[in-house]
Amino acid sequence: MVFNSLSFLAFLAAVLVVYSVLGLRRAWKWQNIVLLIASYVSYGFWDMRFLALIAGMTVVNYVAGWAIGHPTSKAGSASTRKRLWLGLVIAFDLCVLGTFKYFNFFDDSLVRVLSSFGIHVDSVSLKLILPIGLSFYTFQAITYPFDIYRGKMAPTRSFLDFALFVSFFPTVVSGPIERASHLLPQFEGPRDVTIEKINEGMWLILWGFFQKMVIADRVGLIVNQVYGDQTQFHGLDIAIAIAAYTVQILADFGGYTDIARGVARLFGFDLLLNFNVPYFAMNPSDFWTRWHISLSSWFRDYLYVPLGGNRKGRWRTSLNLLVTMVLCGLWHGAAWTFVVWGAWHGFLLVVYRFLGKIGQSVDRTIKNWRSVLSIGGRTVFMVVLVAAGWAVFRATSFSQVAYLFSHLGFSHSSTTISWIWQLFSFTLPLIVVQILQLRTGSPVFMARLNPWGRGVAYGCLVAGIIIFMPHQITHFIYQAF
Amino acid sequence: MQEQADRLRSLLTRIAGPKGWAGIAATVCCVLATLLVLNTAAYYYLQEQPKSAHGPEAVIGARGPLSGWHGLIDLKEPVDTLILGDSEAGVNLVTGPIADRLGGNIINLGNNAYSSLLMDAWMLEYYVQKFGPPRNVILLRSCYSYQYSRILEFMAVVPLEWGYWDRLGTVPDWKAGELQKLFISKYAVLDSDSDVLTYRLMHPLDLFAQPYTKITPLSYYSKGTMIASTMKNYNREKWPWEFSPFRPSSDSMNALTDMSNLARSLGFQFYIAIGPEWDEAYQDPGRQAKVSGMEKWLTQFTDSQYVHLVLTTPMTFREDQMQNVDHLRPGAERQYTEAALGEIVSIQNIMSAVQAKPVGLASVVLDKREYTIGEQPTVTLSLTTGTSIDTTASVEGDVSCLIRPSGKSDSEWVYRAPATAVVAHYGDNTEVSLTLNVGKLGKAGAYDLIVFLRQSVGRLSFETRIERLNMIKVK
Repeated sequence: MVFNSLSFLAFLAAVLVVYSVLGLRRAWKWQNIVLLIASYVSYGFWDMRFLALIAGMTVVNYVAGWAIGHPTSKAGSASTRKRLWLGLVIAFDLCVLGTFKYFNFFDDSLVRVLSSFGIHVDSVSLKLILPIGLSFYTFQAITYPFDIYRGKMAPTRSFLDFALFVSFFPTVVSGPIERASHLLPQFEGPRDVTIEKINEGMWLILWGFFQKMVIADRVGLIVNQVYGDQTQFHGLDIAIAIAAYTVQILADFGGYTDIARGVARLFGFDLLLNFNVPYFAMNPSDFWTRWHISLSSWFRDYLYVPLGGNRKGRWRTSLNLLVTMVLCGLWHGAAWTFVVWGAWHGFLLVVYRFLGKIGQSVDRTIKNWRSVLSIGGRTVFMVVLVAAGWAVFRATSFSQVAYLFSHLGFSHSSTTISWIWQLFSFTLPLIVVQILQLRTGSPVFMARLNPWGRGVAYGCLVAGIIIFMPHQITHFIYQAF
Repeated sequence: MQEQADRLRSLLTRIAGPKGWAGIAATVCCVLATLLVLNTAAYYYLQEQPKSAHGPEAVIGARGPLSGWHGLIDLKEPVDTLILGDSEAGVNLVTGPIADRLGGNIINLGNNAYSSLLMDAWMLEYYVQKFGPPRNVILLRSCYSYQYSRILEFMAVVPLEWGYWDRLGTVPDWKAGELQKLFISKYAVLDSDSDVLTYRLMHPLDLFAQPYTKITPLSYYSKGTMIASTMKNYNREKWPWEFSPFRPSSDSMNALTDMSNLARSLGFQFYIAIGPEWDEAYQDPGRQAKVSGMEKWLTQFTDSQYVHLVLTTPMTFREDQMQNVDHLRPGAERQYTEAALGEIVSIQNIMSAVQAKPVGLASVVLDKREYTIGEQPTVTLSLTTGTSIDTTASVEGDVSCLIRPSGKSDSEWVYRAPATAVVAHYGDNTEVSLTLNVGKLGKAGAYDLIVFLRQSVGRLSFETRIERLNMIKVK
């Protein structure tokens, strides 16, 4: 069920009613059961066939977590068994992910490489549909045995609670990629649905819908036109399309995450912050602490750190960064453009590291006009670097990328001015809200406003959604990953 | 930095307001109130700014009927002839010659095919309630538009209060839920007119700059608009509905029944014209059957006195004469208008012949023997009326004339003099000077002068046509 559909709203309302009634009786275990059923129903709406897959992955990871957390042999070999179980479960999870998502990609790539050397091999392609949310819930599931292995948490006694953790409907399709040590404990006890949480939930959901249905979908029209047939465009139109995609992907994915977090808040749960005004970042490291935080921190904690992180010297650190970001790119999809996008960010991280303190500084203290220029300049430059990466990320082929970059310029067409105006109009609310989030230090600042002021602001947002929302339901970008 | 953040945060919460569930309730109420205010503002804005010359709403046509309605609502004085129908009426019927030969004022409310005949019925009923019956109503619609049922989005944009269908007279046979959908479509404009609002908000400089283009009473003699031809797309495979059997909708049935009954009860002339056909398409038996089915169905509404079918043998045109299968190009629309007008005049002549007074021309004098290209001839006509038996005869009516290349049809006129009102008495040679100032005298040669003497016979017209062949010489 897509968030931006009437059926989801009706579904959510129904679940909330039942959940609230159970909450009045403090029956949190029954609340979990209701949420679990709702999560499986919601996932089944996408495709019934993959319920078995998510259920199977749940069982395997739960069993592995139990085995890791309850070693039955002596201390020395217990450590080995724990490592073995961890290795097996990660291998299993990644095999499932790899089979569904990457088998055909690597098979095709291998065939092409061999073919370039004159070796002709038949392609073995599997006719598999990528289960929706697989990339997200696989990574989420992996955190459970991993966190148990690291001693951050004990295995949960309740299989149902764990099943809910893996399949929780606000997060299962497109994240945020929760940590077992963060979300699971919230399921394992009574939860308070406070007025504050309801207010925050309302704001997050409404702002999420506005970001998706107004900002992302509207600027996306420009992006689709140019990327649909780039040969018809040149100069500023291409630059505008790249800028539009930079806005679109933030509003689309940020909107999804906000809706997910808002929905979770209504049930009394707190999900990880996934976006923290990312385009105000001043360097690549700063960017990756603000963009898709749940994914970037996952890669940091479960790949970069085990590879050695920054503990093994400058060159090894650079290699670790590159490998991590390449795999991060690959996670997004089975295409070389994603790999190149990841490599680009890895390259940026490495280069900025070599710049030392200047490259890593996130000091925003305004001392004088020079500091304003410095902060502003570094921020804008970072946006440009990120936008360049998005241009590759969005492209469907390298020839498209080559065309886009080679035809950038200052020439304009009859649509340039109206596109600039459209991009500006729809980006402005996003900029305003992000500045307010930055200044107040809270992504839910609006929830703390006076109820009358809140009502007027929300009313304007709802009116904007009604007026500008597209006639057809559009899917979220990150659903495809 | 932290202090600033704290100050800003406290500022946001400093204003007092209800807390807890009361706060949430207050928020929700405020949301609804804000939506109501914004919706109301948008509603009144759209009432005043319904249609711009450009923008998606003009293409989508959702506000299409509005231009006619606003023309009708703003009408200060009655007209003698109403043209109703879809864009076929708007494009193919030229009002000037119709006004000249049927007399008085004319307004062409030809609109959007999707609006269904209910819209025509309501416009007629509205006009009648406001001014009383006109003398003539001409209805022209494309064949397929008789098959349309009401579209609630069009009904919603009619700028009349809720329930106008009951007050006007033609009431649709409502299906379950339609009234509710209509209510939302009419009043929840944030949603129902989101396309228009989106366009307006994205073009803020035009928010109040473009007045709505309402239809006004106007006599014009030729169309200037040309659009790229879409004729090549017209075939059985791509447009199957043009060749399928004729199936009129119940809305069309209701509308025509009410309009016909109104004509009979109020005594005005109601002409239903058959539209032009593309000659190649009309060779298709399916197309012929469809048009013939339409004519047969329309015949049930006609009678000998008030409701008439015009151009029952459809006029066919070549592809190069048509913009699309419903719309004629400039030049061709003149032919169609003259042909329809000719039949209407004939019908009226037959009906008014007994009461018409004899009228003729004692003399026709030109202001010059010969003209040069571009000159505007002035014709002085001396009218006579009555006979030695009927010496009290006086004739009220109009005089108009046209010049056409010798031997050609009226539709190929080059110059016209619009109708001038005249009252002629027996024994007086009433003189009328007409300057032919509509059109262009572009070629040398000989031209015929055609004079139309129209006399009012009650609510009908009787036309005396006088031809002076080869009278005008142009060097």
